[in-house]
Amino acid sequence: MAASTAAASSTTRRSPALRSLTSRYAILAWSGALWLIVWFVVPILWMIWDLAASQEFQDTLSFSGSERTVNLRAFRNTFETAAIVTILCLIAGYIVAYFLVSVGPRVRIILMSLVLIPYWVSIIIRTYGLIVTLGRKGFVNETLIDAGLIEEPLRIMFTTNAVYLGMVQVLLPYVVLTVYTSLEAIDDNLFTAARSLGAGGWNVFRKVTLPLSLPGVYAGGIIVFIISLGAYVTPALIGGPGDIMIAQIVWINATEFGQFGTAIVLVLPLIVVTLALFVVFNRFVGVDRMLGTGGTAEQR
Amino acid sequence: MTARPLAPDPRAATGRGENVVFRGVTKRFGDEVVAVDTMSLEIQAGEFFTLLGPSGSGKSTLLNLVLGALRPDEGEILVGGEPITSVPIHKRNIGMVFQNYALFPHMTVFKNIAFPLGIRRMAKAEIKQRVEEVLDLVQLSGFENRYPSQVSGGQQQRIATARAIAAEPPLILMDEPLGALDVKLRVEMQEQLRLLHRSLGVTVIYVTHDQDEAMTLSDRIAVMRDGRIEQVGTPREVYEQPANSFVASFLGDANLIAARVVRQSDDGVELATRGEPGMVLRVPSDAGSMTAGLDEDVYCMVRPQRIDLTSAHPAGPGDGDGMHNLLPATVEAAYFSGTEIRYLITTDHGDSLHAISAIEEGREEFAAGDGVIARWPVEFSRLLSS
Amino acid sequence: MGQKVFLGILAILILLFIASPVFVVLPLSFSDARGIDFPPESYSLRRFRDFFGATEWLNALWTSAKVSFFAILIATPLGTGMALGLVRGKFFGRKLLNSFVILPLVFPTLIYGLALLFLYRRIGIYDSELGLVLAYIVVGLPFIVLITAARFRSFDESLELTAMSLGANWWQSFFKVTLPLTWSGIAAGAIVAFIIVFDELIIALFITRIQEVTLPVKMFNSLDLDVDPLLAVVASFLIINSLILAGLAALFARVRHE
Repeated sequence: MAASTAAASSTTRRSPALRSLTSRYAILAWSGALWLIVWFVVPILWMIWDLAASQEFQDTLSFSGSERTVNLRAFRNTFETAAIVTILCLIAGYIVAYFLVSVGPRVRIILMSLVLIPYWVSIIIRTYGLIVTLGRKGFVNETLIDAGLIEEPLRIMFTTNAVYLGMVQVLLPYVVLTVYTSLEAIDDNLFTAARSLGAGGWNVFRKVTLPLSLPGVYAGGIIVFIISLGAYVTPALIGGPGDIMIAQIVWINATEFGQFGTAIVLVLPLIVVTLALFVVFNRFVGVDRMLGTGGTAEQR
Repeated sequence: MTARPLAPDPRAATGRGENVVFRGVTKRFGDEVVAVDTMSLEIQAGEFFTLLGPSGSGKSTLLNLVLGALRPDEGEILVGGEPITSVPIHKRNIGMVFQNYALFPHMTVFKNIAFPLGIRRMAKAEIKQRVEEVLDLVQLSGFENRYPSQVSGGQQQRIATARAIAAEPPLILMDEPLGALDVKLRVEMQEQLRLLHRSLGVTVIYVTHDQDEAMTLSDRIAVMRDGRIEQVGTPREVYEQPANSFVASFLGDANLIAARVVRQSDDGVELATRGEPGMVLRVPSDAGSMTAGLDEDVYCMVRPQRIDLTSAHPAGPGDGDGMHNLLPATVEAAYFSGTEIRYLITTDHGDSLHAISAIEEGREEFAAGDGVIARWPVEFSRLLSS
Repeated sequence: MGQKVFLGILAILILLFIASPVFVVLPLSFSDARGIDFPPESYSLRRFRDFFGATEWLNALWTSAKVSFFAILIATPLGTGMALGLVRGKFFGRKLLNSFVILPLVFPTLIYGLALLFLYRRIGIYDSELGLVLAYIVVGLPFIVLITAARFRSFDESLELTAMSLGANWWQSFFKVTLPLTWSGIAAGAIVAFIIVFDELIIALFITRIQEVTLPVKMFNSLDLDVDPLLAVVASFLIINSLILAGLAALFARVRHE
């Protein structure tokens, strides 16, 4: 007892902040964080640091002519696509989520599994499925031709619209889940109260439902937008020749041409936008909200 | 404070318990909240000591400081003369019973109770014997193979207690251990706990916000408010001689009559109630935690059970016989509760008082609107600072 | 009323649109024909037979399984410890870490893949299993932390305090009380992280070339260049695999130990 007392009195003399840093839980939490710093933060910072000073980097910034045009177009394309996909996802996702909370528990489970099953399946497989369905010789075209509705197969794949369709298809579950979570959290009594105060269906939605579900809308929107900015698979596999996005140019520069500097210049704006959205998201929506702390499925 | 030091119950003096001393203990949460404020206190070995107070009074914080779940910012806690604030929880050898019992749901009753023994590397046969012993002590023999979810709330409570005493700690902490039980069961469990404490002779620090429970169980009670101790004493002392109006009203009903000191003498203090002319109230001279100066505003406290109501007409308002205080009043309401009637009365000077009278043959009963005289012996009046 | 029916039909159409690609792939894998043939005109197990003879596909599957397994093996204790620290601890920087741990999850894998390509070329682990494992620990960690933290948050801390008051030191209390009561949450986290990591494509595209081809990379290449008839088999296999694992994770997430 005496020995431990002596040891402890030296602990007591240390400042509280220092003591809290060395506590067991702090060590546990920081060891995980340290791993992320070493293998996540450092590689990214190192890449930026090293290449910001390189000649390649300077060249890309001052580049003129065709390459510059291509890059700028890719940027416009990427942000435009991300914005359109986000809006489409929000509209379609909201409709589905709203419908999900309005049906009974049994139907809800079945419909929910239609959202969750794709959610757990690899994006490549889903894109593959889309090609099978909508391709030149795909299910939809064959059916329409057989039915005599069209003569020539519709060209759906390998167009800009295919990219929208593919990305919405892949990203929709995020919005459905986030909006569903916030819609479900609304107290049913509120609707009754609103109606008893004389609000009609549309007004209840506008004045009660929509404002209360906004956190889910923001969360879903931000997630979809961030993922869309870095989208590579869908545009590469089913996009048309005009649908070059930043990701593809980055990919070609880094792996085919070995021009890291160019790749990094292109990636820098994405980093800035992502971090900014992350901060906004953290402050106004909250991380827990996005990932839900209850079910497993909602955590993807 | 007039609380005299009290020897623990002589029957409990088996020497197993250890005393607990708090020396200037302070615990803050953040910069604003002082949960425990420079607390000094000595709990005798073998004593059943209760920390009583409303929620947020710091009683649970104090318990967690002894347990080791929290560290004091200042001061030292000694158990059996040894400072413990820097000893890790698992080396303190303190039994703990939480309000939710904290039984390990994945272990049988046997394994729950054997847990502290297994940790201490006791031999298997010895563990078995000891578990049987404590289960017998809490009258749950035969429950060894059940899981906590398969027994009732009262049984869970007893299992938690059995587990806490299994390794024979000299000190047991209990945080509202009966709080989750219904009233009838609670009274039963109180008796059991009291008996258990006597047979073990350990020191118990018990936290509750239920004053009845505190008075039934404890050797001594510390009444807490805002991280400070308002009064320490036997249940009788804190009930009959509360140190201040907070203690008086926290422990049962208390009538507080605002008054002014008009005369002091050897055999008592004379007060005058508010209003003109003020009624005279007498208070015995040793019945105050304060020394009141002349003309000072004070409270005269009297318990509702002590007030006797009589019809207004026979005695008439007056100073009485010198042995009783008398106040003319009107009955506002009367509530019947089986064994007693509870009256709400308003004195002619505007104070609202409660009076409780047992239902007995020959005792007068009153209805709302009746004029009455509230009458109580001078010795049951207490002088409290206002 | 009409509004509601219209909304319902619209919602169901959207739902079918989300789910259809998954259900299209399954029958295709039983098709007797080569190439895309949907709905199949005749069914056989030919594609499955071919798959088990295709070493390239089997190698890719093996690489993915190995890499994901080791990554999760390391990420699980690391993430569980981190979650415990974040939930139980009161220390400097806790709030910051709470948000920081989510960052790899929302950060574009495109950028992370690029950074790793850059790093791995310098330290000589480009196109190696080690490189994949290191990357996938980072990818899996946030999922494990989030899911296990949720479990620890709902875990009654007084159980730990009681264990310690009964003489158990921190480790004993963790292994005898905390872990037996939270393992299912940890398992759920590990499984979810495994699915995510197993399906990861972009980072693998950046940091591997020839030596170590993971299953998603092989699938991507097959789709990008020409559609290999075996793709449907692989896809079906992965769909079933993911759904079983996800179901298992959901099951574990609901286990309560009483």
